[in-house]
Amino acid sequence: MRDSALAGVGAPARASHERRRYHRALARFKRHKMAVVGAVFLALVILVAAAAPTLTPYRFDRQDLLATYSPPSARHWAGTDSLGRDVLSRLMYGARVSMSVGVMTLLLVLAIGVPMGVTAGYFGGTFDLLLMRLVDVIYAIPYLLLVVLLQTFFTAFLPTVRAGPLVWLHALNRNTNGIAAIVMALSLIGWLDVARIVRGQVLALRHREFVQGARSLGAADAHIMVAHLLPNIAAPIIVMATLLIPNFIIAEAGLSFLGLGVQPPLPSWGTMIAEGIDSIESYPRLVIAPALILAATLLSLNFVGDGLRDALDPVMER
Amino acid sequence: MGAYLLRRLLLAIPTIAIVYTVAFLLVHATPGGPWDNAEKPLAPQVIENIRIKYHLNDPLWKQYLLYLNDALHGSLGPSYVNTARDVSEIIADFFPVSIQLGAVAMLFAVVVGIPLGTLAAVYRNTPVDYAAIGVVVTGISIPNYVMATILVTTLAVWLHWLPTGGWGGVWDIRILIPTVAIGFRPATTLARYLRTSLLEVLGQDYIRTARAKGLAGRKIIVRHALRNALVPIATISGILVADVITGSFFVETITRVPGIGRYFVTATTGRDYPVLLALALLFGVIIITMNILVDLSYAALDPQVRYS
Repeated sequence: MRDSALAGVGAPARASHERRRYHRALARFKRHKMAVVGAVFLALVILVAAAAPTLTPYRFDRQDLLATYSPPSARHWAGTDSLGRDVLSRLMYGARVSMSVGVMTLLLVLAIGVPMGVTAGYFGGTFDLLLMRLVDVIYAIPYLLLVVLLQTFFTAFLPTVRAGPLVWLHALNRNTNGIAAIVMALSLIGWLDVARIVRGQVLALRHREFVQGARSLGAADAHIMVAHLLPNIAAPIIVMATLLIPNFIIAEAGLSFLGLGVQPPLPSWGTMIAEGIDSIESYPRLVIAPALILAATLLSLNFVGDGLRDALDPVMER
Repeated sequence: MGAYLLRRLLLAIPTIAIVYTVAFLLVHATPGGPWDNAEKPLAPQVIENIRIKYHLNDPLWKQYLLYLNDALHGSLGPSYVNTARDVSEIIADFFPVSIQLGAVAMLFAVVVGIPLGTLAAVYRNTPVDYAAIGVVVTGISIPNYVMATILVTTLAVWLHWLPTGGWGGVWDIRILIPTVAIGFRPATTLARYLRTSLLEVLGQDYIRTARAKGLAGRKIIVRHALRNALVPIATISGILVADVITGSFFVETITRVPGIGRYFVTATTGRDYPVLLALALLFGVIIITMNILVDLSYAALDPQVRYS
């Protein structure tokens, strides 16, 4: 926050200041052992997710009905499932699904929520009031229930779109095996969370000296919002973003578990858990493998989020 | 207090109305129903009869008011799948199981969450605190369906200590796994908020006064600090209840508990839209009622709330 007060100071001084700040933040992050472990694990998951098509030993939907439920072996490191599909390959594609839903939803909710939150917090008034009422009402309904309703709607509605302006959405959803619908359902509600938090941050800043100063110098509202307010709320937004991703991943796996998410044969960790439940007594590994990997990914994201919070915003109370 | 109660109830009406409208529009915008079977299409005349039976040919506003009128008179309309029965009867059948499980899970959350949060705050920045924070992060990270899967696999499949699923009432051991799976996350949420709230209270003057008077440490924590720290915690009850409700969808399905959560899941996959609408309304009303109760207890505990 002090930086913006220094905005008028020469650029070189600012650059070195920024670098020092970055190094301090990095040092603080590294102090968190769990955050570092989480970051490493996450990097691995992201790598696997990105390279899944070339890394996987088999295609995720390749069935071998002569080798169903085979135990882990040299050919199938994590064994095969009820249709003889390679579990390792499916787990790797599951990472791809989880990560894409997490990141795409995040981008979408930030793109909607940040401008909404900043304008509501900065101008206040009727728009702010309406936004907060909307947040109140949406919070009265359990998040997942609303997502399930939206997703039920999308999965039934999108395939019926055969013409008109939404036909590309239908195609996109079919080509992504339902991921597009999930991302839409999640972001349609998720942006409110972002807007609420961003609004709170802006409210706390808008009467600060540097904002008043910029205004008295004749800066336009849009300029103040973009050049002065946004940089100062960047740190809490980054922290919030890392802590939002796990929610989206939980919701995607949950929807897929219920059969409302990713369309087969594309595997999601949630689908894999649901498929394995019926045979849990004979083949618990089919359930426990996706469950543990999902848990480890979510834990890593939370550790990284906590580490980032301490690194970027040391004053923030835990 | 009477005026406050009235104001609070009046505020709840538009909220419930909006919940109803949103759920109604979403459900009615969703095309088709369980009879849309690509392999065995029904005769057009049959479908037409179904549409007449469920008033689907009426204008939307008429359906909206008709349903509202029925709902206010205790009838939530016939189910699409279980055609002979009214949705309210189905709820009456399955809901009691979920209430029992939900109550036990909530009890678990309180019994585990309060000591966990208290220990973390009292032993701040010691290994006890770090261990408690570790449990809290685990609880926040791991969704209930993963928790349920891990519990069933370890306790039932590998160790054979418990059955893998089923239901036998509150006193049956089969309730243990779903209770922990549903209640773990609310427990850690509670612990996290309580830790912060208690740390704040422990820094207050009256705690120092109590200590100066020579009161025993345990007595200060329980009689003075905890009591005050729990008041702001009441506001998160709504979150906890929402968590228990959505938890029941997954956990009841995994552990084969014949509750309303599991029925809800069957209704989504079976495209039983009247059931979806009714349950969305039911869950919304529960949470709104819960929030009102919280506000009222808040107002009773802290007179300042009533006058603001």
